Amino acid sequence: MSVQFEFLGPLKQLVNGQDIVEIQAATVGEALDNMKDLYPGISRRLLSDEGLLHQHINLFVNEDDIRYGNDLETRLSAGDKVTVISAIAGG
Amino acid sequence: MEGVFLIMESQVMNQILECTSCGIVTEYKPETVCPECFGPLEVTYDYESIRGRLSREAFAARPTTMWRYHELLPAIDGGVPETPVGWTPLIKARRLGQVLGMPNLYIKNDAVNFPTLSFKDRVVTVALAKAIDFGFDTVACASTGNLANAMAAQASMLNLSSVILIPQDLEHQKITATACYDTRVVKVNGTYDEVNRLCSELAYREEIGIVNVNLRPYYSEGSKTVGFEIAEQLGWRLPDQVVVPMAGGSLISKIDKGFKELVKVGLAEDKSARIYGAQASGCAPITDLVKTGAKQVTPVKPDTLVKSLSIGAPADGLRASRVINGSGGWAEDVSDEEVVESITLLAETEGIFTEAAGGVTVGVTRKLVEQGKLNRDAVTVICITGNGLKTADLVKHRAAELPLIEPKYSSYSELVNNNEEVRISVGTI
Ligand SMILES: Cc1ncc(COP(=O)(O)O)c(C=O)c1O
Ligand SMILES: [Zn+2]
Repeated sequence: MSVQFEFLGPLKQLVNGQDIVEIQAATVGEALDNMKDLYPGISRRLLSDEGLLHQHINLFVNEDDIRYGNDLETRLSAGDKVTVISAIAGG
Repeated sequence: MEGVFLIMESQVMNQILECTSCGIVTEYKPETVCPECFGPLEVTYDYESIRGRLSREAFAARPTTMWRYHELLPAIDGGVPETPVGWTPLIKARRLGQVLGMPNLYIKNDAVNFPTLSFKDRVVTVALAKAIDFGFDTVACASTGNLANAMAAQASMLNLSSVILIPQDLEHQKITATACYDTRVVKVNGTYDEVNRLCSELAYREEIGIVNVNLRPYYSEGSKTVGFEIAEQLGWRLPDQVVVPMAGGSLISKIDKGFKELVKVGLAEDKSARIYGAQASGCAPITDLVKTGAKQVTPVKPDTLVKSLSIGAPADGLRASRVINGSGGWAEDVSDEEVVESITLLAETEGIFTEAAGGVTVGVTRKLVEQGKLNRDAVTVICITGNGLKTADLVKHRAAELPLIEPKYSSYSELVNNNEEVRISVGTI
C-alpha cells in the first residue's frame, strides 16, 4: 500500500530535496528500509546504531508521534501521511 | 529603537555554531539543526582569547544585568538590549536550611527576575536580539507559560510582531498577562508537545524567528547566566551542589555549561559541581532517564498541576541526564501534593512565593536530602525559577477559610487575643 512521506526543513536533503515521497510499506520501519536503495544514507542518518529512530528526529504518522505508539513497528495504511521533522525544539 | 540597545565594547566577534554530535562548525545563522547529522547546533567561543581579556576585577564596573557576561554570550551585531534582565538575588536560606538540616543552603531567586518574574526573561533577551540581527520582523514560540510572558513583554518592548502558541490548559494568570502585551496569543487544543511540534513546522513553512526552534542555539545560551551569577555571587566559586527544575532539560544543561566556561576562562577555580535535576512525578521523563541510564528518552503524556514543567518529550532530556550522571548528581520527582506543600514551606521559611516549578525544586531537594543523595553540609544552591503569583490557585486553600471580623476593636480582640492563635509550625525533618 502506498503512503506519503514528507520531510521538513534540512531533512529534505535526505530525499534529494523533494517535498513528498510515495512509498509502499506496511510499517514505518519497513518504509525506511524500502527507501534506502533510492536514497543512500537515509537509514544511517535517521536511525541510531541500535536501529532506533535517532533521538534528534521525530516521526509522525497522521500527526501522531510514533514514540508514543509502536515506534518503528507502527503500522501504515493506504493514504497515511508520515511527517519527518527535527526534534530539536522547545523547552 | 533608539535607547533600547547598548553597544558593548569588545563584543567577541567570532560567531561560530558547532554541532554537538559530529563537531562540524558553521557560521551564525537562524538554524538549530546540523546540516550533516541533524544533531543540535551549539554556540561556541574562543575561550583562550576570552581568558586573556577577562578578569574578575573587570566585573565591578559592569551593568548589573545578565549582559555583564557578554563575552560568554552570543555576539549581537546590533548591540545588546538594555532590558534589565538577570542579576537576581542569591540569598543564604537560613530558615529553610534549618528545616532541611542544610547549614550551607542558598537560593538563586529568579522569581524576581525582570521583566516577567521567571528565568525565561534571560533566554528571550538573547533570542530577540538575534532575531533582530537576522532581520526577522515576526517572532514566535511554543510555551508552557513563563516563556509566553517573557516573549510577549520583550517583543512589545522591542516593537517586534509576535505570535505565542500555548496549550489551552495553562494557568489563567499566565494567559491573561500574556494577552495584555502587544502580541498575538494562540491557544491550541493539545499538549505542550503538540504545540511545540506545530511550532517546528512553522519554522520550516514560514519566515518566522521561532525562539525555541530556529533561534534555539542563541536562546538557550541565556540560561548560562544563572550559572555565571551563582558563581560570581558566591565569590567566584562554584557551588558543591545545585538543584535545578527540568522541563525540556535545557536550563540544567546550560547551568553546567556556564560553570565549565567560568573555569575555562579562569574566572572560577576548577572544581566539579554536582548537578541535581527536579521534575514532577506526573511528568518525569528525565528523572527516569537518570535512574535507568537508558540511551533514549521515553516520552510521557504529562499529568501534573505543574504546567511549566509539563514537557513529555524533552529535546535536551538525554543531554540533561548525561550532565547529571556525569557530575555525580542525581534526579528525583515529587507528587503534586508535595509540590503544594513545598511552595508554602518556602514561603513560610524564606518569604519567597514561588510558582509550581519552585515547589518541585524545594520538594525534590527535601527528598534528596532524606535519601542521602544530597550532602547536608555542602554548599548547595537551589534554583527558584518562577513566581508564585502566576500559579496562585495551587495554594488558594490557604486563604479559603480566613476569619472575617467587624471593623471594631472588640471584634479584633475577640478573634486575635482570646482565641488560641493558630500558627503553622515547620518542624525539622
Ligand atoms: C519556571 C520554570 N522553571 C524551569 C523550567 C525548565 O526549563 P527547561 O525547559 O530549560 O528545562 C521552565 C520551563 O518552562 C519554567 O517555566
Ligand atoms: Zn552534526
